[in-house]
Formats: sequence, structure tokens, C-alpha cells
Amino acid sequence: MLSSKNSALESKDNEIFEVEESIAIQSELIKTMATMVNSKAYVNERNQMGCWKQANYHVEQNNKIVDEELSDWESKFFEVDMDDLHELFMAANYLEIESLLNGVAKRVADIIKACMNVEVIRQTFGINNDFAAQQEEEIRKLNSWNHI
Amino acid sequence: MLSFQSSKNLLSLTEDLLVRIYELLAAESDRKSFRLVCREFRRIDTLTRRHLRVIRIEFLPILLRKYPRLQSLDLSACPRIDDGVVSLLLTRVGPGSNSPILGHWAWGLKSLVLSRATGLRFSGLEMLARACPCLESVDVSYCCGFGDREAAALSSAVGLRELNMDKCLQLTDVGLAKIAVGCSKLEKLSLKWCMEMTDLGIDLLCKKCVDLKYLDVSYLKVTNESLHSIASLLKLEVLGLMACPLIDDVGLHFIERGCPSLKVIDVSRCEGVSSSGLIFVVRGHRNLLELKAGYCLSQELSTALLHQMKNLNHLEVIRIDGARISETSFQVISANCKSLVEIGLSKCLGVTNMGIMRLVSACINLRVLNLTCCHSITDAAISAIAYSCRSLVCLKVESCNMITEKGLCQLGSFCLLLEEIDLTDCCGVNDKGLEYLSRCSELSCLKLGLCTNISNKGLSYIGFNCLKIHELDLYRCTGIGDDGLEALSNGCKKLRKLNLSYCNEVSDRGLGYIGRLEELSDLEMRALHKITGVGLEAVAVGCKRLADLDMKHCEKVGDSGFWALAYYSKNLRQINLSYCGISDMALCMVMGNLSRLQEAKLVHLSNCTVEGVELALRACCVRIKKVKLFAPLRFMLSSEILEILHARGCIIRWD
Repeated sequence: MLSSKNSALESKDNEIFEVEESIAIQSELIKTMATMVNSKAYVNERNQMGCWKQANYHVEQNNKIVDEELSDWESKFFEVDMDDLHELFMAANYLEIESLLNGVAKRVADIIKACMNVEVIRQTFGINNDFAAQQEEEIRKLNSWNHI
Repeated sequence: MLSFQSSKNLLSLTEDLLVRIYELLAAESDRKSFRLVCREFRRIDTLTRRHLRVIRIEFLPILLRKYPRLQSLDLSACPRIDDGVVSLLLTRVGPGSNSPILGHWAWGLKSLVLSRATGLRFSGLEMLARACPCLESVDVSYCCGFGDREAAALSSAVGLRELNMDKCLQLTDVGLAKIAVGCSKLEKLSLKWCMEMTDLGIDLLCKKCVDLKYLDVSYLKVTNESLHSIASLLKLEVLGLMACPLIDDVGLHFIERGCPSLKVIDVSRCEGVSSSGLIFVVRGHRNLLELKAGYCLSQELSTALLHQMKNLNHLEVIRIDGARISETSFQVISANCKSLVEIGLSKCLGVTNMGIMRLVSACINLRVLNLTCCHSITDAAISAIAYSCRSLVCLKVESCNMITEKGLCQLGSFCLLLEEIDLTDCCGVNDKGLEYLSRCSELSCLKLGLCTNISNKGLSYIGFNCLKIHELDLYRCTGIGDDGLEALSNGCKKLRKLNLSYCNEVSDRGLGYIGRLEELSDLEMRALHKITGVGLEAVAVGCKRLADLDMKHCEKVGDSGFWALAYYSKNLRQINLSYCGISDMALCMVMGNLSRLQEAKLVHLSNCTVEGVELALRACCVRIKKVKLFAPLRFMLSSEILEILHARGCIIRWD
């Protein structure tokens, strides 16, 4: 379903997106699927919008090499709650958009860095502590001896 | 922002995504937290870790079992590693036959650092070389007892590309031959101070290891014949010949037609080398990138040499310390070598303001400039340097005593990338100058030794603005006191190395502030007459990473300080307690308790008896490597203890 300049992509919720081709091919998956007939991508509407926004930004930036700090635009873009971030991550993974994957991963890494201790990390991401007491103690002991 | 829906938490991400996140956590403290979150995260940490540097040998087996995918292992900080330990690590461990084989950590290992592992011998090395089939890089520098058998053990690692055997004193031509034959893919080899090497060994090396790109034979007694052999190395890019006493111009003549890929050559301190020798090198290698010829040219750079240097248009580094420089030299260099990034003119005669100004206006990419002891330099030259070379990172102007705050003002305005500056013995530096200099917020190494005109006020500017400082030298800066140290401890949290020797005004209060510097590892505080045990205790408790402490002549420090040292300073490796008032008991505690102590200077301990010193030496004889003792004790200590120390490889010096 590709036209010369714009590609029309249908999302899981049957919404049709018109996306410029140069942006669409940022997604490895779309690029591959363009060669196939009758293909459908299973990503929900909201996140697809988000993905293309991001992809658009990157094409505009001429695919500059992503550096250490997230740029201002990206920081605001990723200022979403955990659920959305998670969806974005899954969407980016499925659509195989490298720049978006990097961006989300950085955002998650920054959240982890900002957490004061391990308990806060667990709370933020909703992770249960599945260590036995002895195991946890062993790791803490190894950590405290500063091996690098 | 927080969500607790367990179905959508981070763990439902696939492994490669989690690895992506983990790899973005660069800081070790973040990785430690990551490891503790849950089992899955710990698994990611285990899988991804490629490099390990171990400090405590007790944890080595556990760590190696945990991290099966290591590529690089650094054991240089484990001084007690020996053949027995290696054997343990590579074989089955544990009572039952169900215990896992530990050796699999070695399968992917590419790089091994065993620097200063003096306990290791050839059987241990052989085990390691056999167990690590992918080994490419080995560093056994400063293992002074290593010789030909160890070299033979290493030669079984046929894939070896890089080998550092600096100061392996027993290595001879025989050992080198084994390596040359066994490791023919060798690309990088360093043999500094392997004094038994001769031309024969070098010759065989050059015939067998034709892929060599980097060769360092500094300090060796090799002759021009070696240079004849080295000239045949077609891929050689870096050649180190520092302080080789038997090399001279004739040998360099061989290099003219040889080593077509040569980019870097170091002939510093070679007494036999003169302008003629350098002409040969330069004439044959117009694409030379680095020319290091410090302290070998006692006369002027000859006109012929300058003429040849006109072709060195790509030259990035030049060091001609100790030479006599003329105006013509400055003209030629500034006209032709505009790519220069580093210039070394330490102790050169004839360095004038005019010459420097001409030089820096041409070499605008300059990053490192060494003008140590160029006494004629004034603020005019510094201003020119600052204005032209905005990328300047390191400036050394020791003993240039005409520099004042005017020059520093220019530096602070234009050279904002400055990281290192040496102003030792520049008596023109005052508080105003430090205020201007503190604008260089990237400063990490600042040397102000013998700058008697600075006071606490000047130091407070540094403490306020230069937050990245790692190293600070305030040797004999008698104007510095406790208030200055307060300002320092508030801002310079990353300080690692500090010299406060002879800063007489410093008292216990000041040391209390030093105790707040958690990263401090190197502290020199000689002859501080106001400090007592209270101050030392504050340092011991607070500076947990303290590894090197020099408190010679701190006579008022009482035992309470030394007890604290013995209890808290577990990372201490070197200590100088000469002329201190430490008692027998405290000395025994210090030497016995500090399990990482390797070097101690214990000259003239007036409160210690001979028996006390003997007991202390017995307490540490297992691990102590170097000790300096009061000369008369040589005849008073029992021959037994001296023999024990000698048998353990401990070096005793008598003062």
C-alpha cells in the first residue's frame, strides 16, 4: 500500500496513517514489509503516532549521530508515564526503529540513575525482589568491596 | 508517573532490550544497583560484563564463576596472586564432583593484566597461557623476578599481539627468542629496563615478528647493530629508544632508509645522539608525527637539521628539552610545522618572548606546552599563548618567575579548556592570579609548589570554581591554612592527590576538612608541626580510599591518630612515618593490621625500641615489599628477621 511519496500504514485499531516514505523506512520492519504484499503491522494507534513523530524528528535532524545527552525535544517527548514508555519501547522494538530504541533506553537508564537506591528502582518499575536473603547479602558484600 | 501494573513492567521486555539499558549505565555505582534489583537484572549484568578489575583476592573465584563472558581481566591490584591461586582458579573446586569447572572464564579472555604480580612464576603463567586460547594482550610489567622461563611460558600463547615486559629484569636473549618464535603475530612489545637484552635478541625478534608496530627498547644497552635489525621492520610505527647509552648517530643512519611506516620516535636522553643523527631520521621520514629528542641535544639545532625539519609538515609532537634554541629555530618551526599539538622546550636556553609569540601564532592547535625553567618568559608570552591557542589543555611554566596575575588573567579568559597547569616556583603568582585562573573550570591538575605569595583567599577561589580538580600541589605554600582547606573541601570533592608539606599553619581543624574528601588517595603532609592525633584520626576515618600517606616529621601526632590509621585505613599501600612519635604498640598495630601495606619508611622512630620495630616487621613480613629503616638498626635487629624479609623478596634500605 505504498504511494510514491507517502505510505499509508494501517494500525491495529484500523486507523490509517499517512507517513512520508523517507520517515517510514526508518523502521526496518516497514522497509522489509514494503516488499511484501498484504502485510500488516500490529501496533496500536497512540504509539504509532508517537513513533512516527520521533522518526520525523530524526529525519529532520538528518540522522545525526545520537550523543550522550538526550536533546531537549526528546526529553519532553519521553516525559510520559511508565505504561506509555513501556508501549513505546515495545513498539520501537517491533517496528525496529533504531533511533527510537536508543532514545527510550536512554530515558530508562536516566530514570535508573536518578533513583537513590535499589528499593526506589523496584518501586518505579514495579519489580518484585525475587532474591533469597542470602543471595542478596552475597551480592551486597561483593559490591562493597569495590571491584570494578 | 509511577505505575504498578505488573503486566507491563520492565521485566516483560526482552533480554536484548534490557542489555541495551544496562550498557547505558556507565557508572559502576549504577551497575551495582542494577545488579541488586532482581534476578533477571543480575543475570543481565553477568552476561554483559566484559571487563573485571579485582582488588580483593578472596573474591576472585566467586567473581570468575559469576562472569563467564569476560574479555579482559586486571589482577594487578591483587599483590598476592601466585601459582597456587591460578591453579585453583583453573581447575575444579569444591568437595563434590558436581562442582562446576571454574576454568571456563578463561575461554573468551583476550586481555590479562598481571603487572607487579611478583608472586606468579612460570608454572602459573603456563597454566594461564594454556587455559586462555584467545589471549591477545598480556601485561607482566614490573614483575622483577620474571626471566626466561616465564617468557617460555608466555610464548605458548600463540595469538599474542601485545606484550608488556617492562622491568622483567631476568629476561635475556634466550627468553626473547622463545617469544619471538612462539608469538609471531606480535604487534606491540615493550622491554624497558630488561637490562640483560643484547643485539642478538633484538635481531632475532626483528626477523621473526615482522608485524611489529610498536617496539620500546628504552634504557637497554643495545648498540647500533640493533638499529640495523630494527630498520627491517616494515610496519613499525612507534620506536622507543629513550636513554639507550650505546646508540648514536651511526645507528640512526640505519633508520633513515628503514622503517618506512615510522611515525613516532623517542631518542630522549641518548647521549650519543646529536643533530646529525636527527637529520638522518627526519630526512627519511617526512610524515613523522612525533619527534621526541629531549636532553640529547646540548648544542643548538644545526642549520642542516632545521633545513630538514622544513619538510615535517605533519609533525604533531616535538620535544627538544634541554637544547639551545635560536630565533631561526622558532622561525623554521612556526613556518613549517603548523600541525603541532605538543611542544616541549623544558630547560631550553634561548627561549624568548618573541620566539614564543611567533611560535604560538602559527601553531594555533597547540594543546600541550612545556616551558619549564624558561626564565625569560613574561606575561607578554603567556598572553600571546592564551590568545592564540584556545585549545590549550596543559601548560608547564615551572620556575618562570616573571609571570604575574596579568598573564593568568589572559589564561582565565581565553584558555577555558585548560586542565593542567604547573606554576611551581612561580613567585609572581598571588591571590588575584588564582582568582583569574579559577575561571578555567576544567582544571584537574594544579601545581603551586613554592608559591609563597598565595593565601587562603586565593585557594578559596579554586575551591569555589574548579570543581574537577584531581591533583593539587601546595608544597611549602606557607600562606595556606585551615580556612583555605575548608574552601577546598567544600568544592573540590574529586580531589585525589594533595601535597601540603611544610604548610605550617595547617592544624587539626584543617585536617578535619581534609577528612571530608572521600576520593583522596594520595596525601603528603610532611613537617606539619601543629597537627596531633586528632587530625590524623579525622583523615583516617574520612578518607577511606587513602592509599599513600607521607607524614614524615609530624612529630606531635600521638598514638590515638596511629590507632585510628591502623583501624580505618584499610586501603593504605605506602606509608612514611619517619621521625614521627609513634610508639611500639601503635607501630605493631599499623604494620600488622593494614593488610594492603606494601611499602613503609620507618626511619628514626624516637619512641620505638629495637624490639618494637622487630615485632612490627614480623607482623608484616608476609606482604611487605619495601621498607626503609634507621641505619644503626642493621646491627641491632636479629639476623633472623632480616633473613625472613630477604627470603620473602622484601627490599630493605638503610638510612
